[in-house]
Amino acid sequence: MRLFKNKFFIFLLFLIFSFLIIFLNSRKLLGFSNNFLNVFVSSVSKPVWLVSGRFSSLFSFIVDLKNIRSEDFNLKDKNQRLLAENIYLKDLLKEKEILDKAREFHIKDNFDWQIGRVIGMDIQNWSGYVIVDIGSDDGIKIGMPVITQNKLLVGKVIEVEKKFSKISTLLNPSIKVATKTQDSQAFGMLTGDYTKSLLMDFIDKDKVLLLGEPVMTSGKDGFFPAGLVIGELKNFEIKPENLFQTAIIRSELNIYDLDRVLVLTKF
Amino acid sequence: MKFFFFSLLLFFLFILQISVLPFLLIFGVLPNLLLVASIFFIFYPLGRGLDYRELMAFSFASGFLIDTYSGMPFGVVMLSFILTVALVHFLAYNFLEKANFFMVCIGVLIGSIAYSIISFGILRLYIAFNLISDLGFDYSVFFKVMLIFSVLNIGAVMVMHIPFKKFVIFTDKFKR
Repeated sequence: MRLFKNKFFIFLLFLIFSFLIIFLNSRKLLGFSNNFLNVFVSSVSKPVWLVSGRFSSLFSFIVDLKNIRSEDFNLKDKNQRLLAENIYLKDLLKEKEILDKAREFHIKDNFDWQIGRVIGMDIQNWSGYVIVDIGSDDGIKIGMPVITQNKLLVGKVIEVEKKFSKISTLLNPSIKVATKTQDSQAFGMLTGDYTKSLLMDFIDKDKVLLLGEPVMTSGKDGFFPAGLVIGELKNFEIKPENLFQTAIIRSELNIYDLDRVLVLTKF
Repeated sequence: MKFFFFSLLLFFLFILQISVLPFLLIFGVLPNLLLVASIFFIFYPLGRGLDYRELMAFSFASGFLIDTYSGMPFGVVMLSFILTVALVHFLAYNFLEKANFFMVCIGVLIGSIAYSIISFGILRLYIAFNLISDLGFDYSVFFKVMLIFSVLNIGAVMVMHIPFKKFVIFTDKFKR
């Protein structure tokens, strides 16, 4: 009995016993006991396995949910970046189109220009002012004409700071533009009245005006080059007591749609 | 009665090992709860718990049970268990005196490394005796697995230290 208290002997005994079992197993003599063990263990482990699987699925679902949230956040972030990039690229494309058209002016009409972006407008007072992001640093001076890429007259520069300028549009009554009708070749002076309907005055009484004919700058005032689009003749009036006839011109200009404008630095 | 409770614990841990832990794989490695329990009981006999003979029986039974469900050749786990527990028992009784949480962690660390090396050695012997074919072996993977296995086993000690201790105190009330 003392032998069974000897640790080394016990260790040796278990080791021998293990080898015996390995030997028996290799001879397929443990099949019955193994089968019995498998049946007994699996009867308990199977439900535990199923429950664990469910918990694991739940845990995986929570982890997945966390991952989905993180992925969703990343995708939204990516989407926003792509959107910003898209806007930037569209902006560049638009600027390119404007520059292409402006280059045509430079070639055809010998205009020099600076392109400016509209960064503000005085819409509260209906004064027809807009502010652009180019100023004296870009060579802008007071009085310079401002047009769109489609050669539509916008107005003229009335204030210049280093980095931005204030433009008074045609809608402002303080602007006077020498104009002419395209078909009847009638000359006159145009003034705004804060609406899209502009007044063309000092038109020769003998001229026969045509409704709907285009009106453009004549260049006779020396402030604006000739040939800039203003609008179309909407109505005209001849009073016997007056020396001249007057016409109402519908302007094509919509200051709310202005995005980029060209300030003509040389014409 | 005490034998009954330890058998119950053994069976419970075994079921946990084969049914629950596979769902908690970490880097493809599992902790071995039965090995952790065997090593824990080396440190907490102190006149109660398990004596050497019972401890060896516990580790032998643990190894046998895992062998029946393990993918390794039969006997590798059983022999590894017996040799590891004997080694850690020898070290614990000759070099480590106090039985506290820190010592258990050291014991489990040594045990985990020893278990991995012994299992590997036995496998090589099986190959040498042509009992299984040699499919090649990546040593870097072996060391990585051994490291993760050791860390996971220490983690298991952290979780099970108090329940095991309470179990030993509880079973101490009963006669062998």
